[in-house]
Amino acid sequence: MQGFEKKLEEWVKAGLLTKNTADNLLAFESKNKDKNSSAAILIFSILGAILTALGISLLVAENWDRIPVLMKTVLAFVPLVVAQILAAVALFRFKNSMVWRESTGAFLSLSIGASLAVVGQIYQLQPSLAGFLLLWLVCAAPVMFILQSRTSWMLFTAGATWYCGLAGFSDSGFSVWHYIWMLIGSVVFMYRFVWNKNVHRAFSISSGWILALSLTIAPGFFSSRYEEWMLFVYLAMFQCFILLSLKPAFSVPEKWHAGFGNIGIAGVTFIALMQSYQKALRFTAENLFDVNHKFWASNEFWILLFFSLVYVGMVIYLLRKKEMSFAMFLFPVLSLLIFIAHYALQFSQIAINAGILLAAALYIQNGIKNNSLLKLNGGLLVISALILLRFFDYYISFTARGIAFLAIGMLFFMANRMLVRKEKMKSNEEH
Amino acid sequence: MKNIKVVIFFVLMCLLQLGAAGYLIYRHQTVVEFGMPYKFKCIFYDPVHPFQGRYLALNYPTAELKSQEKITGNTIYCIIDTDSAGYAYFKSVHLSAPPVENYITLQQPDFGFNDTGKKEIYLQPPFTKFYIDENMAPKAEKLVSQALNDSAEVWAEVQIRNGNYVLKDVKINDISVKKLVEK
Repeated sequence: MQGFEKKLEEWVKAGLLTKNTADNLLAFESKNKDKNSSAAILIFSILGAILTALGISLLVAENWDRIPVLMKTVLAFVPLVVAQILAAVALFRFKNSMVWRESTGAFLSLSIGASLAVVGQIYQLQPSLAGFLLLWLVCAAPVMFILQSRTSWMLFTAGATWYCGLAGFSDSGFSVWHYIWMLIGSVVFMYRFVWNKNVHRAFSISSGWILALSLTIAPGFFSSRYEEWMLFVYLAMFQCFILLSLKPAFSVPEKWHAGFGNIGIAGVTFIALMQSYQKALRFTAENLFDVNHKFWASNEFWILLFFSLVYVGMVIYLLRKKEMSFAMFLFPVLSLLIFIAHYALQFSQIAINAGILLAAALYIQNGIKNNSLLKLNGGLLVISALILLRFFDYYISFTARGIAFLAIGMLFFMANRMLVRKEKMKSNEEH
Repeated sequence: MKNIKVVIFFVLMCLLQLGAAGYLIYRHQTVVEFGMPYKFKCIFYDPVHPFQGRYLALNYPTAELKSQEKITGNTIYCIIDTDSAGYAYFKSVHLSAPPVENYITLQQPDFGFNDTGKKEIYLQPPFTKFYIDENMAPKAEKLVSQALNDSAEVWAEVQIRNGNYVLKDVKINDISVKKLVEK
């Protein structure tokens, strides 16, 4: 900044700038200073905070057994209190400094965990990891809101996902439903502090990915008896992800939806590919109808109902905005085809396969049109996967398999070459 | 005005965090002061955990209880009693908190099926971790295998009150493991 001021002075002296313009430039730059004050400082301060917290706890642990219990207890509270004091300084003294808020937020979040863990260890308490995480999450939730720290948000969301996995899998006796309030907290923070502010683009992208990943991991742990119905839960959820990523219908920050879009498309494709396999499809179709009256009270049913309602709401919203696309109806079409498999397996299988082929072809076409290597290769990859899977359920001679793969390989080469050439020609024309 | 709100929320947050750790200590202290002491016969080994470091993992082969009680919730309550040799064991299972003080609370116990195909729950003491100095843990493990060969008595000293418990010490022939390994 100082270098910049000097330069401005020089320019004014040399008569290149009027004094007025120079002042305006200076005012503009200092206004944006916090926003631009280099991601590097931010990242290193956060890293520093995390490493300090870990380092202190390791150092104390090394000499642990020689310290009396009362002293140990006092020591256990030290990182927490220090972190709270630093957070207070950040909040009341350097309120506008993102670096301060982010690094103290990270430090405080981790210190809570450290203090709780150390207290547990001193007193030989026997908490399960799920119980410990739950206590930590309750204590860490206010940190992100009060300090408006996005790093705390990341730690919290990751912790909530971890808790969900532990509570869902192990026999810890802790309810997996706690994840819901954590998720609500996480989304409220996102809405309040990511969508409505000018945040770093990198954070916008990564936070979208983190939330999408957390949502992708979580539902599986809610599954009870009706695992086949989880398929529809995921299908509905991935469909909602895709809708969310359909720009510009939902006014979200730039690239925030990248994670949702990519995970959504990959997820739906994965499910469709799995169900294109005849044995899998038959298995799903048979078990789908193996339900009793308890189904209406199961987790699967309620979560599916929730996502279906969200889906319907989103579609109505999009249609009102005159938004219309093939990708908006993957969930109902694919669900219907899987249901039909119960009555007409052959038809359903052919339809699913044809659908995947069509979708991949559209994707490839779209990729060529928009010069997107990712879309082009994604589409080709799906076609190859489809063909590879068909080798498992039908007998196809080795010659035919060889020719199929040769053809696909050539297709990959040619399509990519074509796209790169097109790009080059375009840039040549521009010059 | 807005600043005052932030201050209040900040102070509440700090109190919540300090209170959480404080509550753990408070619960521990009430058990230590008012709880009843028990000896659980045990064996132990020394696992390594990336976050928790080294500790002694305790097993209680004689205190376990198998029960065919039908469980409805996640939580069950076990009454503790002492046998003629002075060791504690799980006496009975209850679905709601019994009107005595000498019970512990267990979350979602394991279950299996017995020889006749009936569903059984396995109740084991939940105090399975004894934290100890990193360098001492392997030594302690050696000590216990030696002690078991010499048919010495190994037990965990536990204090129990109203469902909560505190693991106070692990002893070999009435001498604390921590003291033994330091020799």
